[in-house]
Amino acid sequence: MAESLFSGEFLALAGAAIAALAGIGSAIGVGVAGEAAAGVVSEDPNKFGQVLLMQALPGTQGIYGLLIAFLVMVKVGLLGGTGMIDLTMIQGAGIFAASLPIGLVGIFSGIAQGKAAAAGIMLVGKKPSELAKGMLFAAMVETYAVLALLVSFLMLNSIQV
Amino acid sequence: MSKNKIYPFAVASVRSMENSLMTKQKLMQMAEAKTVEEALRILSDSAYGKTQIKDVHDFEQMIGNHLEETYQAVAGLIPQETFIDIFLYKNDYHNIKVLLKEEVSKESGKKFLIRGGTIPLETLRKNLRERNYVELPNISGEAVEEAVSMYAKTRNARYIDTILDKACFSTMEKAASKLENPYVSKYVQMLADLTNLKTLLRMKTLDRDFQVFQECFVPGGSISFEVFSRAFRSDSSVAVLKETPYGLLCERYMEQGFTVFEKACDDYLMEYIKAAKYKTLTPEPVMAFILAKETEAKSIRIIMTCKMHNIEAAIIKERVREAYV
Repeated sequence: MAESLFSGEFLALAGAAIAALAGIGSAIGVGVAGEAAAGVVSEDPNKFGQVLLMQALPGTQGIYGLLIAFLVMVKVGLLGGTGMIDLTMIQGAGIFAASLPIGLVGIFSGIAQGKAAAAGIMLVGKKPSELAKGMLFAAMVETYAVLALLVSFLMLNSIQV
Repeated sequence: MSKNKIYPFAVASVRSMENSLMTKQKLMQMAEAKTVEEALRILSDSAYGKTQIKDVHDFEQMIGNHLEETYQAVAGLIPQETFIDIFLYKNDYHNIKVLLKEEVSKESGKKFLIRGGTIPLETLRKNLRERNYVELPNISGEAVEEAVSMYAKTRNARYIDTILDKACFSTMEKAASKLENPYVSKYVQMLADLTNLKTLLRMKTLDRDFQVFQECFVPGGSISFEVFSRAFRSDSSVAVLKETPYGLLCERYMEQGFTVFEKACDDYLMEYIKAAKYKTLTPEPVMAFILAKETEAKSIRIIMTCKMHNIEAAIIKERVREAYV
């Protein structure tokens, strides 16, 4: 049992799962921003287009997580139709480690970005002309999600299977 | 995420509504208007314009309707009812005062009643007449009974006011402590302190007895009754009160008199409320909005009343309260 838990294959799959968890952050972030967006639209339905754009911003972390999860699955042959290739424990652990950055950073940056996006939405509610600035503030958080994606991607690329 | 509940919907709605607040410049413009009709026209261009009136003297109707709209708009925003109720209790108690006085004087006080309390007017009237306090959850039945019996004993309507004011503040204090929101508690505390401070200085000016002050003292403030009684008995009340956090306000009173002091008190509260401008997800902005509207209404009342009595623009401008936006 313990042997199969720490097999390379299992660790690689666990890595893919962790990368996909970045979606938690996005879900919470988009949720908070969505509540704020509904609040603004309840007062002024014409602002729907603008606030929808802002609401979508925290959604990217989930996509990055999905991307890394896909790359991992392609790497281990899960999506090729040929079946999973054999991995040593070292390889599996490497893939697992490579998935951690986007998984963890995705969760927290998604939540943080959601709050920033909600604040930006309120800004649009009050001053519609400041849409671009509000978006910029929320987009700043994106930097760190992108950095984590980059780290995960580079690490994953350098693992030889 | 923090353990505190967040209310993005409520805050975002309120932020959008803040656009309907009048800026200080707009209020100043009203104050500078040449005639009262012109001031009314500026007022009609704002969110208050929904109610159209023919006679300038009916401007109170505009304010009343708009405030009621505001209360209704904000009421549904936060599921936790007590949060907004804290700021509506004063309307309930005001209505009770009116209804009780109506009862004893047999005169209609209809135009003094305000909608926007936590209890619908009809329910309040019916249950108050029957003295059925079970249907009036946040109203202190004891206070009502006491007010009525005090009036019966003394035939002085002042007791209705003072007893119910006390009850109102203790209801607010109780509700605030239940909420465990430091921003709200601090506000209620400051409000009680400032009310007592104003009462004290007014009593001193009018040369009233300590007994009267004691009757008017409201609970819930940070400054204890002992400090106030020391201040009352001392030759220089302001010197005693300087040690309190409101020392600067008291200095204003010494230098510039009561009118300026009263405005300074309102501005002091507004300064505190303004902290909510930088909150994005917690409920403070909702509360701030209610208070901002009430302060705005006060400013408009000052301007309109002064305009009707042809008071100079410069004097009106001095009295206009600080605006939230």
